[in-house]
Amino acid sequence: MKISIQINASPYQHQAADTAWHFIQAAIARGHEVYRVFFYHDGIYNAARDARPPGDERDIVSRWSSLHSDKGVDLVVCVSSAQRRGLLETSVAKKVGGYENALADGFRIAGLGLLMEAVIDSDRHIIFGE
Amino acid sequence: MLYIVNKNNDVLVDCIERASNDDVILLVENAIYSAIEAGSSVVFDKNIPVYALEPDMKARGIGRKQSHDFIQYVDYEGFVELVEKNNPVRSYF
Amino acid sequence: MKTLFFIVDKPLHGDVKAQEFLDTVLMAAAFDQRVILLFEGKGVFALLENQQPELMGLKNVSPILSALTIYDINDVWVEEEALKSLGIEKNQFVIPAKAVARDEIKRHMSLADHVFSF
Repeated sequence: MKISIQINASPYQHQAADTAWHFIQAAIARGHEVYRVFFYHDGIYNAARDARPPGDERDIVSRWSSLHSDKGVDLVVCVSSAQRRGLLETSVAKKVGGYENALADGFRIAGLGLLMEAVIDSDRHIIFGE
Repeated sequence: MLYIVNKNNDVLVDCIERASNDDVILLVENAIYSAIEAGSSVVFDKNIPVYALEPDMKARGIGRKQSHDFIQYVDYEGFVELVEKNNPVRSYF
Repeated sequence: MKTLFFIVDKPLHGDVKAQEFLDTVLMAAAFDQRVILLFEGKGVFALLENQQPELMGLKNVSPILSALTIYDINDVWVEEEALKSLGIEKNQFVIPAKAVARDEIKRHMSLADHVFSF
């Protein structure tokens, strides 16, 4: 089964990103294809490269990056949500003089069209938020 | 339909009011406190199956003994199975 | 073509999420999907005319609501029971919406491919 995931909440402040991550692990283990994880609203903060949680806490951002590098899951951050909240794509950051390395490994920034494409092609769409 | 509820407040009441017999409700995150029999003002509809995500219960130190007897339990794999069997999925926030 | 249900079950103001939610509604229509936009429970307050979110420095979403028909989104529904319980009349709305009973809404929602909420 193709499953697309949407994450609407920032990490740490809410459990949504954790629930989603555990769900995705279980879905992949059961043989499903996680088509795409789309980060929307405050969910874009899941992609913040410079998050530095204390050493004894889970590293949510790296965990997502590993999901991409190990399992090939497509991680897409909504461009309008991200720009509004100060997370810029490198090319945009260059143009406006912003921070060029904001996005953690494995994430890409794109428009809402990629959310719709995922939803249309998927058998299930699950939204995690606060 | 599968309803995913993650809050222990009026949202669950809104969900129960709108769900029907062929639906399933899954309590996750702080919604699992609604599974506790004591002190809960939520009136469940016995015709609608209610599941609780047990890892979220264990994380909060809540056991099956404290919960309503009609609650069923799933782990994350069971969560995925509920998603397999039910569509569409509505998340209540 | 997929049938996508979008549910506004809380008032639209107070945060930017609502405005961003409406963006997804418009995007779904731009992808030629069957879109049903439902205002349910306290979400029906979002349809009231004469809102002045500018007073709080927030963007007014009423123009976005008015643009729905341009995107061929003609299924704008309000929950009949919510209208009654909140004492709101349809003529107080900024755009035309069809009052639909909860049972009828449920019947359609069960057949939808995906349901969006925020």
